[in-house]
Amino acid sequence: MQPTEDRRARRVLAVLLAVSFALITLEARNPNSPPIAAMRDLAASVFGPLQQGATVVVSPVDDLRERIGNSKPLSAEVERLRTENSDLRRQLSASAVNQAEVGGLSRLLQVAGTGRYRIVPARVIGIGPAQGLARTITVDAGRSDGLRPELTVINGDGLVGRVLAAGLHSSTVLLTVDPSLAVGIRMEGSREIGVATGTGGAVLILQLLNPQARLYPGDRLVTFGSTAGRPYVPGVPVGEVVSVTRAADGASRTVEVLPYVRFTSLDVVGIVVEQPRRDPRDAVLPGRDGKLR
Amino acid sequence: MSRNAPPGRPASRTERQGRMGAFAILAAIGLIVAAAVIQVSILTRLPLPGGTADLVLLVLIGIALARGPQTGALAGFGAGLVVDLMPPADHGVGHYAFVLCLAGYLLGMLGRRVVVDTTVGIMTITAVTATGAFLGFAAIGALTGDPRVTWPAVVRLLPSVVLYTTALAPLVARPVLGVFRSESHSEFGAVITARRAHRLKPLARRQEWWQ
Repeated sequence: MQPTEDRRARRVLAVLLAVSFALITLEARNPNSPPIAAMRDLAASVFGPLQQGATVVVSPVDDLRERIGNSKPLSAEVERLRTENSDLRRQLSASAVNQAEVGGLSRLLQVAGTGRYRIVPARVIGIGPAQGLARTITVDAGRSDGLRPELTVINGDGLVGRVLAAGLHSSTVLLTVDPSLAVGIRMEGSREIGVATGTGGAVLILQLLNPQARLYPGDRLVTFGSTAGRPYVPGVPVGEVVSVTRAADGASRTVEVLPYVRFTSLDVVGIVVEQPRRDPRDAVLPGRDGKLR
Repeated sequence: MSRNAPPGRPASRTERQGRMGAFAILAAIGLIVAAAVIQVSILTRLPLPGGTADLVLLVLIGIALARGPQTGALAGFGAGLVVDLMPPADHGVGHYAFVLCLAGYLLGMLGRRVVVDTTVGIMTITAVTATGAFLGFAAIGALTGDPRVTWPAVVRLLPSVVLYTTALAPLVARPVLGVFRSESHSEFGAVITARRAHRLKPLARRQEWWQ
């Protein structure tokens, strides 16, 4: 019994490894090959709603914790009503937004209004585990909301990333900090242009076309804008220079940029579905006191 | 049990061991998908530094240790494919399937030789498996020319991933192992299989081609 069983197990292993290898090769040769694109699209429509469900389940927990934080002794009746209340809220949750989301949404609308971006707001329903080494998120808007790949994604603080793949009701967004992503940028004031590349960590690496251009910590940058606004519309705040390190030979320098967006606590984002008619230049950058102009 | 057993082929308990009943297959699929969804929608939201616990790997460890190499390889392949396709994944399809398929097979071989019943035992196995799976995944990424796979990134993430995954092992891998082990040769599985046997029989028979 045992030897034949072992042989069968080995055969199963060999077949499955060969299938995996075939899939890997197929995608490595052509990342957009139709069978794999179809598999991903199907997965997005199956798993999207599950992620949405899981997110909705967590939200009331957050509310509850907030309430427990500043609670006075409560009578059983009040507790019962609160439970009922949170149940009702959960039922409404598709449209209901909690406090943090309201704040995020209002800042997002302010940014979109200043830059004249037409946006579709969306909630983050999934965050890629970092061991995948890719920095990506799932949002609960898709093709049915007018999304398509290569659209700019922003939030109330600045540039979040771009749409990588749009499913029917959910989409995958590549974050600015992902190592495979490079954004064309423009410095505030000096109007020098360059490229900010993700590192996978907290910062971006900035390279200016003009290596002689002066740069100081605190200098701010916005997106330069791509042709027809895809993947990037112009004028979105990206971040601030935090350090300029000269190499030992003095010829090259490494410039680190801290993004305005806190990628670890993303909640509400906006996908820019229509680019502004005019480049907003530095208008979207907040005033130096931290408030939006 | 015997009431619903097909004539001339009594389904003995020993025979059922190592095989997956329809119920067990559904339970395994459900657990794997749930683990993958919880991972991206809940665990990654926790404000912890570094990577995330690999919940799917923990479920696989439980299943493979309880059910042997063949089921381990199949479950690993399926689990890996779910992780590869679960949005917002952006690595190639098949990368994690390859790694977890191999991991499931090896864990199954191990599970047949040793009975893992202690917390320390399951945590040790988890720590080794998590390290191997992470490095294997990174290696395939590097071979396919993924710009994200760099030494600094691997060094930065590996310790936290292994730590979080190992910490969750007694809470996830151990109960899964217990359920799948008992389901394979105890009343739990037998009762459910017997009660539903008349409905599940065609399905179970169809699955025999790979069993």
